[in-house]
Formats: sequence, C-alpha cells, structure tokens
Amino acid sequence: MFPQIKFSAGPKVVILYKLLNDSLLVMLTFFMLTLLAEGALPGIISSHIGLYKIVIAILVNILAITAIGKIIKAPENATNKKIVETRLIASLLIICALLLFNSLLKLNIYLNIFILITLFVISYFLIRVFQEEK
Amino acid sequence: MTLDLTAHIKLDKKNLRLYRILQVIFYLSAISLATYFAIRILFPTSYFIFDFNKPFAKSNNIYDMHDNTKLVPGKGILPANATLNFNASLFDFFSKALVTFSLDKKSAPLQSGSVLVKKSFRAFLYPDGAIMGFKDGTLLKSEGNYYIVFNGKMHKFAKPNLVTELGYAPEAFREVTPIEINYNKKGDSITKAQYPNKTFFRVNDEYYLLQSEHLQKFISANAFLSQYDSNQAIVKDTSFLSTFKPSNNLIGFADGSILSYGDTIYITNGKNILPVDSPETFLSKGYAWEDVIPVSPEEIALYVKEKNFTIASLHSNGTIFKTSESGNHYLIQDGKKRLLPSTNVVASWLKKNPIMVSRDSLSLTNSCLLKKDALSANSYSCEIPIANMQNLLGSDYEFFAKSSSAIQIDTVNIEFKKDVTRDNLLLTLSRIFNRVKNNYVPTN
Repeated sequence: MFPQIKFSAGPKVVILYKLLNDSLLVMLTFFMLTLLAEGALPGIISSHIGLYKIVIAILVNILAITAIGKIIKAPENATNKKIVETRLIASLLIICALLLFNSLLKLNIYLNIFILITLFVISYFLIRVFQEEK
Repeated sequence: MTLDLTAHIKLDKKNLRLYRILQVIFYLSAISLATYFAIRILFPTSYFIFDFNKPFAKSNNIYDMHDNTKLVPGKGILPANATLNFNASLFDFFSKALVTFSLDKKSAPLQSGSVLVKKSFRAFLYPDGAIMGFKDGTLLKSEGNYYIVFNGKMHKFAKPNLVTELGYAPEAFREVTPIEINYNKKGDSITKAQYPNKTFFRVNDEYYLLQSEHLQKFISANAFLSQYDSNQAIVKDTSFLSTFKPSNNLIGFADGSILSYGDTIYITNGKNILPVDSPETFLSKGYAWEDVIPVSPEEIALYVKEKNFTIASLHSNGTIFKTSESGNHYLIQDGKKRLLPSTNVVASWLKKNPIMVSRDSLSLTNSCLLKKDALSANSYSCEIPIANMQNLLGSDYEFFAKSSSAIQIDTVNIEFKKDVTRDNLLLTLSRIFNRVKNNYVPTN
C-alpha cells in the first residue's frame, strides 16, 4: 500500500519520530479536554497544572518532530492528508464553537447563537478569500 | 485497525516489534499520568505557607499568625512554652493536615512540641464577651411598664400614658419577662413628654433617628429595616422635620448586611463595604442568597469600598452566629463573641438569617506531636487527622503550636490532604456538580 521509504537515519531515530507523533496526539487530546474542562469550570485544571506547561510541551514536541522529520526525510502522508484535515477541522470547529458559546453564556441565548453563526460564516469566507488562487 | 499515526513510515519486522512495545509502554505511561492528574484533581492537596522572613508578603496564605503577645513573632523567635496561633481557610473538606516548621539555621533544635487544631469560622472562635442586652432603640414592656433602650441602658417610661402621648404604637413594645429587662443596665427614667434618644420617626416612607436632638436620616427604608422593625418608628408628617435640627450624616445598613449592586455582592462593615470575591466564598461563609438586599447607586455611594471579602476574611461586626445543636445565638462585636441570652434579645438584633455554626467546634480538637523530619536537618512536622471535623460548620482551621524550648522559625507550611476514599470522591464530585450548577443554572 505504501512505498517502502529509504531513511537516511537509523531505525531508532525513525521509532523516536513515530513515538513523538504518538505523544503529540496524546498531548493534543489532553490539551483539548483541559480546555473544555476549564471552559466549563474555570480553575479546575489550571489550579493543579499550569496550562502553559502543556503548551510548552506541545511546542517542544512539534519542534522535535519537525527536526527529526528533516533528518529522516520523512514524507507527508499524502493519501490520508485530506481525510485527516477534514476530521481535524471539523472537531476543532466543534470545540471552538463550544468554547465560544460558553464564553458568551451570560448573553441572551439567541444573540449568543447569532454571534456564533455570524463568526463562523465570516471565518469561512475569509478562509475562502485567502485560499483563492491568484 | 491499529493506532499508528505514521503508518506511511514503514519499519522492518524487528524494529516494528520494538516500536509496538515502546508504543504500548508510552500509552500505559500516558494513562498512568492521566490517572495521577485525575487523582490530584479529585483528591486535591491545599498548600499554605507563612514566611517569617517576609511576614507581610502576599504569598503568605496562613493568616493571623501571632503568639501570646497577639503579634507576629519577630524573626520567628518563639519563646519556650509560648503558643503560636495561626489560621488557614479552605473551601473543601480534607482528611489530614501536615504541619511543618522549618527552623532557622541559628535556631536551637526543637526539644518537643505539639500542634492542636480547631475548625469553625474564625469569628466564632473569638473569646466570649459579656452577655448582650437588647439593641439600642428597642421598645419593651414588662408587667405593665414600658421601656426604651438607648446608650445600652434600659430606660423606663415613668408613666405608661407617656408612651401614647409621644405617639409610640403600643404594639411596637415587645412583651418581655422581668429577668430580660435586667440584661441591660438600668438607665434614668423618662419623666417628661420629650422624645428620648434612639427614637425613630417615619415621614413619607423615610425613616429618621433622633440622636442628641438631631434628626439623622436613614439612606433608605431598606437601611432602616435592616436594623429595626417598621412599627418601631413613630409616624409623623413633614412639618415635624422642622422641630429638630437636621443632621448631615446619613445612616446606612446594619453591620454585616449583604448588599448587591450590579454583579457584585458586598458585606457591610461600619463605613466600609467588602466585595465578595466569589459565590463559593459567599456560600462557604454561611451567607444565604435570600438575605441579599439590592441597593441603589446612592446607597452604595455611602460606603467606602475595601479589599475583597475572601474565604480568609473575618465575619464583620454585627454578624450573628447560631449554633446548630443548641440554637444559641452569638453576636460578633469588637473581637468578642457575645451570647444573646433570650429569644427576645435575639429578635432585637436579628433581621436576617444567622450564620449557622457548630457548638462542638469549640470543644472538638485534634492534635499531633512534632517530630524531626528524616530528610531535612531543620524541619519538624506532624500530621493531624481532621476527617472527624468534616461535619463541623465553618471554613477556618485555627492552629495552636507549642514548643517546650525556645526556637526560631523560618517558615510554617501546612498541607491539607484528602484520603483516596469513596466518600471523598463523592464529596469532590458533588462540589464539582454544585459549581457547574452555580455557573450554568439560573438562580431565578
């Protein structure tokens, strides 16, 4: 199914690269759940673990993945890219909508929904404008 | 389906096996770490510190640190057998408290020492003051005689017809026993048809107080009703106002009143108001939402805004505590807890819900003996079980530490810990549920 790739680095570095990808998924999941919990009950997580620590860990992880990716010359997974992106964007949008709705909770519910829809429509068209080919 | 985010990067069989093993170890570690954080969140530990080298630092969250002289011991020097008293305030219930004293390098070693803890509201742990009498302005009758209380003394109307002559409503006089009359010192009798001090008047729904021949206006009817009953005021028309000199001072709400303006709730204390920092503090301090009085900008402008009322703040003067066991009422006044000896005395003071406390708080104590820490040369600590204090009402733990030898303390640390038990888990979950409810379910 996949082409056999010849890596310039040893297999141990490739294993490290794969494990770093796994850890990125775990950390992003943890960060997303933390944001949701913090949105619902401010302070429930941040009073125990500083959120900045998770962000720093994620950034370090991404930097490490990028650096090792360059060393091993890892190719992007082109076949799955579109599906992953669509799923990722959909789930991020849902989380974003939840957090926004929660932050505007004290507003009138219809105004809250109106602001959310307007925001997403504007964002959608903005992205379309940026993606337009010259 | 396997969980492999980098399936496009192929490994040979040997390395794939190694990767799978490492992957399993990684995910198990991640699950363990998540479980550890979940335990930390569900069974939290609260940390408190006091640094004698920086006694006024904001980072000190142990309050009211003092020795027998009622002052913070200078440089942390505690004489032999002197008691060091300090407080920590908490929202939550805990199972044990680990108290650690880190001594200065120059300090002599601690020979033997102990720590004792009580739980309640700090103000309820005040020393007992004298029994409280009726509130100034209270109208009383006993055995056919009529009385008014002012300047803390009981003044008798020499003739009962003086009462009607002056325009008092006879039903405003509360019937009390002769013993209750003696709760206030005896003052001079009122012999002339002249309004005594602490007489209240109502003119067009505005309330006034007669004080030293001056009429002082209450800022609002609500301000008057937070202290007295409406029938205590003699109804007059506007022409009456010219009879006495007006006073520029407006009278506000009773001490300890709960006011709401905008999104903030304030507790009154004399001329000051303290904004309550959170709904959790409000409820943990025993206040009831139904006692909140919405006020106007003019009413709030009468007060000076002070620093926030937090979980560590003391209940203000005028707070009335009621013991859940015996139903006794106590009034907080100038650092003393004063018993209100009868229901009639209580009625003269109490115009809102009292703060419920546990009488057992005064007698139930837990203690431990300080021991030298194995890992630190200058640290002494001990763990006090406090699970049996969970049912006591109150948010403050008051500690009393004693050392048989003179010592110099650098820091005092307290760690409140929760045992990992089903009961504690349910307690934490119910607290989380209540917080969600407070945040998301409208109260009206």
